[in-house]
Amino acid sequence: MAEEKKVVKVKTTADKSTETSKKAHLLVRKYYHEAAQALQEGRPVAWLMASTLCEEMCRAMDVTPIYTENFGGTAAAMQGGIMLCEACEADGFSMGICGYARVGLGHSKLRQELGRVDPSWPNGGMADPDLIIGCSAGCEPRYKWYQAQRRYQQVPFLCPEILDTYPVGMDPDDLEDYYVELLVAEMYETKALMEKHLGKKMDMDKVAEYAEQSERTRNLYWKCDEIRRAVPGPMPVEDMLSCMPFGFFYTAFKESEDFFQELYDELAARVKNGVGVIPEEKLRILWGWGLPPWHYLRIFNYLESKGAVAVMQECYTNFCADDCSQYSDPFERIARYQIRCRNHGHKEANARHLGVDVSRMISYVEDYKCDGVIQHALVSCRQRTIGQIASAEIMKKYSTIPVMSFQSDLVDERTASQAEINQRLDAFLEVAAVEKERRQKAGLL
Amino acid sequence: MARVMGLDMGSSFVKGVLFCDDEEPRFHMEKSGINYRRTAAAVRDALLREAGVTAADCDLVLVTGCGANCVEFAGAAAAEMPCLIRAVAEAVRPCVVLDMGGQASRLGVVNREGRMESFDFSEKCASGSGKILESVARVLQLSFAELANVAQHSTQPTSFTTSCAVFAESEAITAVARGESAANIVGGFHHAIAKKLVAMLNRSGSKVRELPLVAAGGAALDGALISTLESMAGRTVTVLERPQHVVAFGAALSARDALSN
Repeated sequence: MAEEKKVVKVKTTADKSTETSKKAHLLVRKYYHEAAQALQEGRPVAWLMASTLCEEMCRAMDVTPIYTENFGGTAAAMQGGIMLCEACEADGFSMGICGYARVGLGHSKLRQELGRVDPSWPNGGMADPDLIIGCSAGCEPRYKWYQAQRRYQQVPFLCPEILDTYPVGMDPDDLEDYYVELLVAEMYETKALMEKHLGKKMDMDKVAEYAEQSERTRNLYWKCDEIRRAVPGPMPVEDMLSCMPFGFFYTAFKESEDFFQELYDELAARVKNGVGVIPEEKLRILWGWGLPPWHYLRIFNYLESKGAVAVMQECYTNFCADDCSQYSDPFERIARYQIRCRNHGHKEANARHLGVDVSRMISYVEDYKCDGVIQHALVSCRQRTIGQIASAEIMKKYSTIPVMSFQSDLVDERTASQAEINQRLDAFLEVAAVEKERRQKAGLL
Repeated sequence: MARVMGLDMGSSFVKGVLFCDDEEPRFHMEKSGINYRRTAAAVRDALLREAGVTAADCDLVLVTGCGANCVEFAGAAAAEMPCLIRAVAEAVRPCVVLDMGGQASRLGVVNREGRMESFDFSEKCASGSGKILESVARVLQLSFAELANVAQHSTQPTSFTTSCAVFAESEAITAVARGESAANIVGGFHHAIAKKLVAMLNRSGSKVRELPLVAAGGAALDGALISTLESMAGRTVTVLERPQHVVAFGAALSARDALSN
């Protein structure tokens, strides 16, 4: 009798501390499976980017969304990013373009070659889209990626204009109405295009329901970050990075709201009982400017092995609680919520005469009682890397805690050596400990 | 007094330092080779033999460096920077130390209390490290020790556009093919490395400029490189005694600290 081969599962992502975050991958997988199922049943699937403001519309039209940036991160975390990046590069794309884009394009290239999505790909791969909806917010690959995507998939590409910039020195409140007007107009145009391509009318009552759902989810997500101020920190960054998809992407889902409610309850209990991530939290670290190295999430476990906990992250956290229920037009409600969340950060930054990212870092250092900041310079993401050197210099004016930068990438592990990163972390933690001791002796802590 | 050993498992050499009671410290090093475990054992055994003691007599072996994980007989491990700072602080404090190793260059600022106040690393690759000099020596068919002597005769250092350890070899070959002298080629690479180190010094801020500057690491044995560095930085560089062994010395000191705490 042939001996049954035992499949040894290699754990690729970080070890987590909170019970709820350990279940996050199941919900992520469920969302991908739902898209695959929709495809099988002949229901439409849309590929989306973050900040498109279209998830509620998709849900109202019974279109199942998949977030391609989220796929890039999860693929890298599952050590499946390189295969897809290489497929993309083999088709002529540069190694210098956005890692998420390379994963997405590589996925489509392989899909085209194989004639199907291979279920062994991370999260079973992404179901074929009927629509792709990008947007202008954020960075230039968000325009170009989906444009290039059409080499492989001849499906409609919608690209609403979503504002992401603020004139320096202007009061964001003065701009709100103008920005909302533009966003609402763009959303109505997107609605018309979706209706045309899908051949049916959008039910605005359903959009309103999903808009309310999104707000509830986001408010809970924000509350979870707020409670993480506690000492010892109840939840490390690696846990929140696993939960982030439900507060940043899949917000118009009741399951996402329930997930954050469960997480909040767990965090509240941990704070009440003084349960931290490690037995002795010697140093509290802010994950500063730069997205995470999804290919090396164990970096956070490495910090913990040295007595340091990354208690908060600067990325994926720009939502604050705000009630927009008074707006009867669901598009206006969605737009107001989005703009007000951003305004909150910009107002704080204006008061400091600083950019929004560095201002947020300063706030987090104070609010989360951090002893050091780690910044991640991303080889393939200029938008989240430019300004890091300046931000480190600015931070020095507000705090004496050390700021460390290291270079790698959001998905491309070929750009980094874990041993070299760890060496830097060792030195950084030593410096952070010295500075903490100095502040303690000076009575500043 | 205790018997403790520090081992620095570097990419080019494994260095060991043994403190045996109140005797003078003993030093030994061997090429790292491709089997760190075996080299570590060889360095340990050589030190123990010289001291006339056995492994069982050694209270603690503390390892550091890129190959530290391979050393099964180690009683403790530590990161390289704290070991470097521990050793430098024993010699001079406050100061700035430039550690020019085989794989990377590092800068550490040591405060009056002998603690590390800030740090910087060369890029994640071997750019600006001793690895470049090894590559150049290979192309010019010189030993590492001969580089400094050769560079003294440099009249017009060759201008190199790279300080990348990989490109260094092909750039050196191109320079040889152009008919450049070995002295000018080595001098040119000294300039390229020194430029990187000076940039690292400049990044560390104005306060650092007032502190004494000391050098450690194997590349610090290259006197011509140190002279180039002094001239480009506009300040004196003091090379620590046995610069290659500084980190291993710090590891031995850290082992002694661990036993006394």
